[in-house]
Amino acid sequence: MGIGYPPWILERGFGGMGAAVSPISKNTQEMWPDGPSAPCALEACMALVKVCNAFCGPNDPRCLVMLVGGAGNGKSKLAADTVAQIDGTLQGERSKFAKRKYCFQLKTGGDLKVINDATIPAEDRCTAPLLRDLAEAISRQDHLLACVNRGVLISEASTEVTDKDMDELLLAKCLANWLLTGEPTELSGNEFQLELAGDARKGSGNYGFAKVRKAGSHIASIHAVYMDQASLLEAWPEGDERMNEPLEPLEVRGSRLIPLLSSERATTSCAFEECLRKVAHAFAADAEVRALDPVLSNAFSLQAEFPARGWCSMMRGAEVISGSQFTYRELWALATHSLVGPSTPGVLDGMSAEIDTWIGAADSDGDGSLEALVALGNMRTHMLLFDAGNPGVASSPTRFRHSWPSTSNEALRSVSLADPLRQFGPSDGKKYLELADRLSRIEDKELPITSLALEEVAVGQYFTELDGRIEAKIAEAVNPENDRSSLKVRNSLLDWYGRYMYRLVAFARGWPAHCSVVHAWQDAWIDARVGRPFRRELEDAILDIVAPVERTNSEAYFTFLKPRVAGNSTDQSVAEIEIPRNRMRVSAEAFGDRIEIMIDPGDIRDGKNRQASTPLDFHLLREAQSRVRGQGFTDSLELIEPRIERLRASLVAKGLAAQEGQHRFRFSKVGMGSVTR
Amino acid sequence: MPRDFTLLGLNRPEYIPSRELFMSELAWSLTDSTSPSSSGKQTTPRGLAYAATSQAALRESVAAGLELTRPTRSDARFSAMKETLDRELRIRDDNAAELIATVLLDELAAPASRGAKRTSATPLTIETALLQDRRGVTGKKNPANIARILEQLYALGGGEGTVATGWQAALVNAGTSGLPRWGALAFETIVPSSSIDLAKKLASGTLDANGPVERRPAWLGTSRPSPYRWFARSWYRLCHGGWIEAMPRRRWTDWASCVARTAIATGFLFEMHVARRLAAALLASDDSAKAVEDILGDGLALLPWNDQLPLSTSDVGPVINRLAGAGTACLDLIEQLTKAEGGMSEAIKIDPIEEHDRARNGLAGWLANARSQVAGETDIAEAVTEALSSGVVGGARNTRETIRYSLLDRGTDGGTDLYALLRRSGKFTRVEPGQEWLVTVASLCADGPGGLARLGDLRNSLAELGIQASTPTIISLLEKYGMARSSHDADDALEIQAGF
Repeated sequence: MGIGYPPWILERGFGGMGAAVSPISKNTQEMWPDGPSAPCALEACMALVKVCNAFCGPNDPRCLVMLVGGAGNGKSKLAADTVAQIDGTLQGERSKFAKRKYCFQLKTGGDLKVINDATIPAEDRCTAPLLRDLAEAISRQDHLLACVNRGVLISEASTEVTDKDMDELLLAKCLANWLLTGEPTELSGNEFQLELAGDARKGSGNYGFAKVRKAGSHIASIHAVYMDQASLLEAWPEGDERMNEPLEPLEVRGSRLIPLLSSERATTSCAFEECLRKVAHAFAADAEVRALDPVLSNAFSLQAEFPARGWCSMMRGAEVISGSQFTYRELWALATHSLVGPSTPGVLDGMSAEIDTWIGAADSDGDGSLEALVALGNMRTHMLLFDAGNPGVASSPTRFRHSWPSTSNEALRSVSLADPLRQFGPSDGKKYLELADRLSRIEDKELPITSLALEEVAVGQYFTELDGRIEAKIAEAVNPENDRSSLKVRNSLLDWYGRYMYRLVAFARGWPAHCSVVHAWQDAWIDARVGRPFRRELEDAILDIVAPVERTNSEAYFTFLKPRVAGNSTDQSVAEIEIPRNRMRVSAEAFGDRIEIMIDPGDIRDGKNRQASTPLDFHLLREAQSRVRGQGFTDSLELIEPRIERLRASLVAKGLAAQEGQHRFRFSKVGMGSVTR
Repeated sequence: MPRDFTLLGLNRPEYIPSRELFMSELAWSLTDSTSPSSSGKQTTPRGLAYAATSQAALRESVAAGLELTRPTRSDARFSAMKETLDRELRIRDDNAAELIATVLLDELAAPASRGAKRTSATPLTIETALLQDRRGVTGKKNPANIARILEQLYALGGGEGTVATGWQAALVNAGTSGLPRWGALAFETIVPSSSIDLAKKLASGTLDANGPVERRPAWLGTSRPSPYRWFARSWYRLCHGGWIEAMPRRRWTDWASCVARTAIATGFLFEMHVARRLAAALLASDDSAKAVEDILGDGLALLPWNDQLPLSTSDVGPVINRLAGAGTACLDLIEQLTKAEGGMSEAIKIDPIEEHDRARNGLAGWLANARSQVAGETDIAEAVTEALSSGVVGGARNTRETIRYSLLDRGTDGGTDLYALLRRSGKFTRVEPGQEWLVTVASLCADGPGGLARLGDLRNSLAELGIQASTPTIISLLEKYGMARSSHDADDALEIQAGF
């Protein structure tokens, strides 16, 4: 009879039933720890609490807090926490279902409006309800806390508002544009003015601040916090609730990126790390302990400092490689997946019983012992994350298999890109060779990873009794002196053992696939953030991708009359424009967790509008790095080609718009030669 | 004005062999009274094409009275082109000028399919659009009037202005982004002498000879998702949203062709679907308003697109065949019933749908009315059943070819068709958009270059085109093409960065 695992763990798994929070129905579970709010979010909400709970005269400025971001970033959770600290009474009926808007009458006078979920349609089917809510908050002098999905902003910012509309509505449209793009729309002739202030003039980072003035008087302060601009897998600053002036700009503090391979990464905790450790701890504490249980082994591993940090680095690698950013919701689901795989409530009990049987078999002296250990090993975090629910997974040398439901989603797809089996360790290959050498010793009756666990604290913290038993049993089975093991079986075991141990070590060390490129990307982000010039060799490599020069020419020529804009055309007959590669400059800016590179054609006469831009993502950087090192091209080239081609097309369009005589054109036809003008 | 007995006022289509023809026909539609091929008279030339693909094709074209508009070296237009290039590019070398002129004329030739006899010029400018017309390209004496069909599709979607004037305005107002001034001037010189005055008037925006658009049913229009609404919105944005300045002119021209061919195919597919379902609904007794809602709503999911499905499941070939066959037969049946002809009892006579165009629930009103007219008639059930089971015969072939080949990868010798929606895979045909098709459709969800749209907007656009798309499939392609932003968890709010 197997023991049961605590079923609450599935609440936040993929497809779990954990419901969204609303300001009046906190349903966070005791088992699930609260993570930190996005940088500046808590401070902004505390500013609102402070203003709401203080006496507010009719002419005093109101406080508006906008929490902007996609679903799953903790907006509603923070709104619920904030409302709990407000000294006020909820107006209207309570409902067990989340509503779009709540109104609180404050004891100090005035109202606080809370837009809990701007994606919920207004009851009267208004097509731009957010603009209306913002306009109403201004005209009625309400305080406001709004959780705004960026999609809503895109939609409402394009709403047509004309000069005939109320000034408040025009202001609301201006605000929506500012929140979306960092640039407010023009408010000429309006009695309201939006004054961007402090260091946060632009809303494209984590935080923005603006004052609304009516006929010159300050009537409201707006704190805009972008909840999805900082990775939860990087270090976040501690929230500072002791703000002095709630109606003035906050001190802007963003996340701190720490490159994966830096020594500081091993000693610095990221925002989600404590969440992972605590949930793993709660899970382990709630389950009955039994030896060799892989699920409990996962929980024990992940509550330890270094494995939790390694897990976070692995997920961070997945973010960078896939060019996405995991929300709280996705990270909780990945954490659940790392503990119990893609289980469902009905499956969890059966899985426990199955594991019980395998543990029995593993403990026995029979032939099935090794196969049972392999099956148990397949349920360790470093295997579950990449294999469980994946129908295309490589086979294992065991007849014991848990039947996972086929599971596929974007987050898991991203994680699969970080599988260390794709590429192990830093790009110089030394660590790979070192581990390969170490692992080969298993055929000499040694226990390489067991010994590594004693030498290296990160591996030691992840390594459990189960892993040790697996290694020992495999060492016994692959021993060439073992007559009972055929070459085929030995090869199959070594193949699985290699996969198991490479992943285990990479996991403990926090090395996703391509960790050197991820590290370089983080470095580039830091450079872009502080405004450091683009590194010359990287600039050359990027330009080499965007604007390849010919062997006999130091400039780049692009087709401009063909369906696609290409360099180095080999067509029979072709007209091309020269893009002066030598004058091109690359610069970079960090927006949230993105890096945008701007390519400046170098002959600018009319400013920034001549620049073409594209994200510097993992694939572009990987391709560029490969060129810097003279390693030719990578398979990333195919992935970046579509947007690089559009970037070229954009550069060509800008080049063609240049004044006459600023560009050279080349015309070539086979049999007729070539002319440049 | 003659009474309109059709469902949506659309003329019957024909396969359009050249994507360049869309813009050329729009240009000619603005010069309606003077176009060589649209006057209806036996004039010389009988049609225009850019060039022949072989000597045999050249002889055949000349024998057929077609004019090939690409200037030869001995042509005065070629000399004029050289002079312009010489002046604008300060060449001062006759050989160099000849080379440049030749290259430009080569570049102007659009890729042709393998079996084509004549090539078209890429309609980069108003002048180059006038280098061919539908008779010259198709070789037919009386080919379908493509411009008129496009205008009707646009009107059905509640489009502002007309398709042709939108295109014309975009070109007239375009700056030098996308096409250098010297290039535009050089192309001005190669217009055949018979079209020079037209070209000048068109380029100055003084010609707008579009005929009136007949049908703008209130029950469709801007309030209801349909391929017509998508076309009206996308075309307007393409022509008025600043896109022409954001990319090379060739790319913008390809986007325009992409929008036009997609609109024609999906517009007729939708028409077939509605006709088929309306005919079937004549025999039913459910609430007519509900029936119409279902019919129009179901038109948003005609073609499945999911790259995870096996080929046999995602094959859309049978869907197109079935809709073209049964849809055409049902259209004919409805027309017969409105005309009270075709062997039906004269007692059965239903209103033309056009008469219900002005009401917002006009189609439901028509259906209720038609049902009451056919009630109790025994012949009608048999006629409807026969129409619904009709295969691809007669006029349905043209409709099928128009839909299928407008969307299908028309890979030429130059490579794959970047603007196709469908791709052949063995005996199956599946939705597998070319890279630029998705970039175009997704970008036109944004207001203008550099703009943002949401995944929800793209999904809505695809639904308007009758494409039922799987979200993971779209997201993975958007990521691949570098257009997706924000987190996976954003669902329909996932941001899409416009292609330019």
